[in-house]
Amino acid sequence: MASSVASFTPDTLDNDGADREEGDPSMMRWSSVAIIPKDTAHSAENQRRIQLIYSSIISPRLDQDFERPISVIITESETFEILSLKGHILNNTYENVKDVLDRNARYKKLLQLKVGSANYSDSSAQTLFSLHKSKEVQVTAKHTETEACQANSWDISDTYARKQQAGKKELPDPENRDSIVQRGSAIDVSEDARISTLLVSAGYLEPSTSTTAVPSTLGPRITAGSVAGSRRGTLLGSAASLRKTLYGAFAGSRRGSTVGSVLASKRGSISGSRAGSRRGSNAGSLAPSRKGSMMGNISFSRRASKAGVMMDDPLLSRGSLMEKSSGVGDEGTDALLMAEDTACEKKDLDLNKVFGLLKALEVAERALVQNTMHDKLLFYRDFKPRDPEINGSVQVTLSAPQNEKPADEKETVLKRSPIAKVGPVKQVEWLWDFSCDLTEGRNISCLAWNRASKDLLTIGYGQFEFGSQKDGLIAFWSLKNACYPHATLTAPSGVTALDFSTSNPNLLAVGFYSGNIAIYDVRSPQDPMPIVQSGLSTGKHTDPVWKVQWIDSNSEHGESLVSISTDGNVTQWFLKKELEYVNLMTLKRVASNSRGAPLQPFISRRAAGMCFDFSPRDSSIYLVGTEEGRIHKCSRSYNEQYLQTYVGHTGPVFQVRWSPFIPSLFLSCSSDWTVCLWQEDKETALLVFQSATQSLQDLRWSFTNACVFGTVSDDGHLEIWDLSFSAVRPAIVYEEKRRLSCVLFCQTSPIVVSAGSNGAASIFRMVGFDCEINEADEVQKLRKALASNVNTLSD
Amino acid sequence: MEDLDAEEREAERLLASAKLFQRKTAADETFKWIASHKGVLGTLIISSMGFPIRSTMDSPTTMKFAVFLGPLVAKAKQALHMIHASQELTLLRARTSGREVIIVPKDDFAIIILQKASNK
Repeated sequence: MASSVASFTPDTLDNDGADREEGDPSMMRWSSVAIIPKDTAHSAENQRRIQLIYSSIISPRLDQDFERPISVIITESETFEILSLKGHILNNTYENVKDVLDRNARYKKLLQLKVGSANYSDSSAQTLFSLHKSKEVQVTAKHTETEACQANSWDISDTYARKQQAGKKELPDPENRDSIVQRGSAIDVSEDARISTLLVSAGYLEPSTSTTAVPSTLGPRITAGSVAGSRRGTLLGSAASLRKTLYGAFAGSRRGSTVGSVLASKRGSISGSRAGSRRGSNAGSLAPSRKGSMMGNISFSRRASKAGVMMDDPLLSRGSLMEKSSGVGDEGTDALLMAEDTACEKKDLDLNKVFGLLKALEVAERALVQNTMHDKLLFYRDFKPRDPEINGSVQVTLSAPQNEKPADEKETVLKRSPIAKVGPVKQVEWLWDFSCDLTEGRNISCLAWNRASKDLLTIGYGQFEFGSQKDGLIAFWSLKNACYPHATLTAPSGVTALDFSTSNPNLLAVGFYSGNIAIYDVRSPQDPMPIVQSGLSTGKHTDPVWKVQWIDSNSEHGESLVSISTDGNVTQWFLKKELEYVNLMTLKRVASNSRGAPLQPFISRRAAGMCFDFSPRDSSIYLVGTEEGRIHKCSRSYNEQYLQTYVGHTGPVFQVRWSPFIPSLFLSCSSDWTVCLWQEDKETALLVFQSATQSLQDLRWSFTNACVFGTVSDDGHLEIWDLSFSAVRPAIVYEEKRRLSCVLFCQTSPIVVSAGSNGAASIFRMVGFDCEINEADEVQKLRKALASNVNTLSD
Repeated sequence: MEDLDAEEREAERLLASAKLFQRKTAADETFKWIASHKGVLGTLIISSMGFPIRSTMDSPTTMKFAVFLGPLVAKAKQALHMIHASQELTLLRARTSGREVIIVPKDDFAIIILQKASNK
C-alpha cells in the first residue's frame, strides 16, 4: 500500500546540515534551512539556527590604503532562504511511518487546540526598518581653481601608440566587446584626454589636500594616463570580477550633504568646468554614453583620500550604486589617472620650475603689450616728431603748435588772440587703465609717482569703509606693461597713504587703515616684508592714517616721516633703529565763533585730522585739514597752538594743497561739494569753486600749469579746472561710472591719473592745456587769473 | 606686546611669501594670458635644441617656426655677442608688413610669439 503522506512538518535536516561548516568567517555563506531537533514536541521550543553572513570589512588603516585602488564588484545576490519547510511524501513502506503518522495526528490536534486556547494567541511581528534620517553637514567651501591644459595632436597620437604597445600585455580580458563599443562610440582619444585633464584639474582643490591633485599638466603624459585610464575604465565595465578601487577624493569637497546628491553635484560641476574650459570640448555627450554602456554591469570604482573616505563599507553604498554607475566612467578614468600621476607630476612641474621662464614670459608680455599700445604710449610721452611738418596722426598735430612756440612766440600769441577766450579745445583723452585681475574690485586709496623714475606709478589699494576691510595691496605699475604690475606687495591691512622718499627713492612709506606705518624698500620686491613697521609697541595711530609725507630731505638728521590720522595726532616718525615717533600736534577742537548759539560741550576735545601739507616756502609751517571743516595752520615749534584757523568749509576737509607756484596760496577740497582757494593770511576763502554735486575726494595742483588743478568726486566726476579759463566752471568734466578717490598729475607728461573704487587707475592725456616754458610766466598767468576773478566777487 | 608684534610679523611674512609663491608658479598662467592676448596669433616655447615644448598653433606651423627660428635666434645671439661682448640678447623682434615675431631667448629655451601688427 502506497500511501503518500504530505506533510508540512518541519523535518530534520541533519544530513543537510552536516556538511556545512559553521562560522567560517572568511567565506561568504548563505544561511539555509532551519534545523530543528527531532524530538521536540512544541514548535515553540524549536530552535532555529540561522547562519550568519560573514563578510570581511575593509577599513583602511594606513595612508597607503587610501591610495590603493580597491575594486569591488557586486553581482546579483543569490537567493537565500530564511525558512524553508518542505513537505515530504512517504511511502507506506517507510519504516518510521508510524511515527510520522503520529506526529501528523498530534499536529492536527494542536491546531485545533490553538484556536480558542488561551495559551496561544495570534500576534504578528514586524521587522523594524531602521529609520533614515537625513542629516545635512556643512563644510566650508573649498577654494577651487580652474586650470586647463593642452594636448597637441601629435603628442596624443605618440603616447597613445606607445601606451597601446605597453598596454597590450596587460589586457587579458577577452570580453572586450563593451570596451570596443565604448571606445568607438563617444570618445575621441583627444577628447578623452581633454576631459580627463579637465576632471583632474577642474576644482580639484589645493595640492595640499591630496598629493594626487594635478594642478597643471603637460600634454603627453596626461594623455598617456588618460588613455590608460579609459581602457581600464572599460575593463572595469566589462569585467565581472570584484576588484576594489576607491575614488572620490576630490568629491569630498562637493559632497557636502547627502550621499544621494553626490552625482548631481558632481555632474554639474564637471559639466560646468568643462564649459568653462577654453577647450570647449563637447562633454555633454560623454557622460550619457558611458552611462549607457555601464549600466548593465554595475561596477564602480572609488578612491579614498586624505580628505576623507565618504563610504567605508561597500555594502552600505549598494543602494546608491545605480546612480553612481553612470558617473563611474569619468571617475574611473581619473581615478586611474591619479595612479599615473607620479609620472605626470614630474613633467607638469617642469614648466613652472624652468628657471627663468617666468621672467622671460614677462619680457615677452611687455613686448607684446607695447606693440598693442604703441600709439597710446607715444601719446603719453607727448612724442614730438623732429619734423613738425609731419602731420600724419592726430597727436602730432596737437603737439605741433606747442612745438612752434619757442621759435615764434609772438606770432602764435597773435594767431591765437582772436580765439583767446576759447583757447584750443581742452579735453582729456583716455589712454588706458592700469588694472588686472589682482586688483579687480579693490578700492584705490592713494597714488604716488616714484621720485627717481617718474613714470613708475605706485598704487595703494585699501577699502575706506570699516565694514569691508580686506588686506591691502601695493602695486607698482610701469609703462612697460599696462596689463600687469611690475611688482606687488601685499599688506595685512588696507593701504590708505603712500609716499616715496626724496633722499632715498627706494624707500616707500605706507600708512594703513589699522593705523600702522611701514617703510618698504622697493628695490627688492622679493622680500615682502617692510624694513620697519610700527606696531603696538613702537606706537601707532589708533585710527586710519590718511596721509604720510617725507619731509626734511635736506636736514642733517635725515628725512623723517610725518603722518596724520583721524585720532587727531600729527606725528613725526624717525627712522633710527626702529620707528620712533614724536607727536607734532594733537588737534583740538576750536569752539566756533558764533555768538548766538549756546556753546555745547564737546564729547571729545580732539579733532580728527584728515590731511596736511607742508608749506613749500617754510618747512616748519604746515596746514591741517580736519573733519569738522576747519583748516589750521600749525608750526612745528608749537604743538599746542594753531597759528591760524581758516573757517569756510562745512564738511570734512579731505585735501589741502599748497600751490607749487605761488607759495601763499592753497586749495582745499571737502565733502561739502566745494573747493576753496585761500590766501595764507586771510581767514576767509578767496574763491569758492562749486560745481560738483557730490563729496570731493581728492585735489591736486598740476605740476606744470599754475592755473590748473584737478578734483575727483564720489560720483565719478573728474574735473579739471583752469583758472585762466574760468573760475566758475571747470574746464573739463569727465564722467565715469565708479566712485573716484584719487587724482594725480604727472610731472613729465601732460597726463592725469584718476583712480577709483573698481581697482583701475585710468590714464588720461590732457589735450589743449599748454604750459608756458618759463615758470615765471606761469606764475604771472595765475596772478592774472586771480586778479580777474577775485575782484569780481564781493569779498 | 613685543611677542605679539613678532608673531604678527612672522604671520605676515608667511602670508606674503605664500602669495608671492603663487605668482611665481604662475608661469603657466602668464603663458596662457599671452596666448590669448589681443592680436596674438600663436605662442610657442622651444627648447634649446629646437624642440617645441608648448605651442598654441597647429603642428605643421609649430614645426616650421621651431625649425627656422631656432637657428635665427642662435645666429642673432652670436652676432650680438660679437658686437657687445658683455651684453646678451634679451629680445628679438622681426617685423613684416602684417606680422611681428617676438622672440625672447634664454639659455635653455626661447619664447616665440607671433602677433598681428596692431596699428595700420
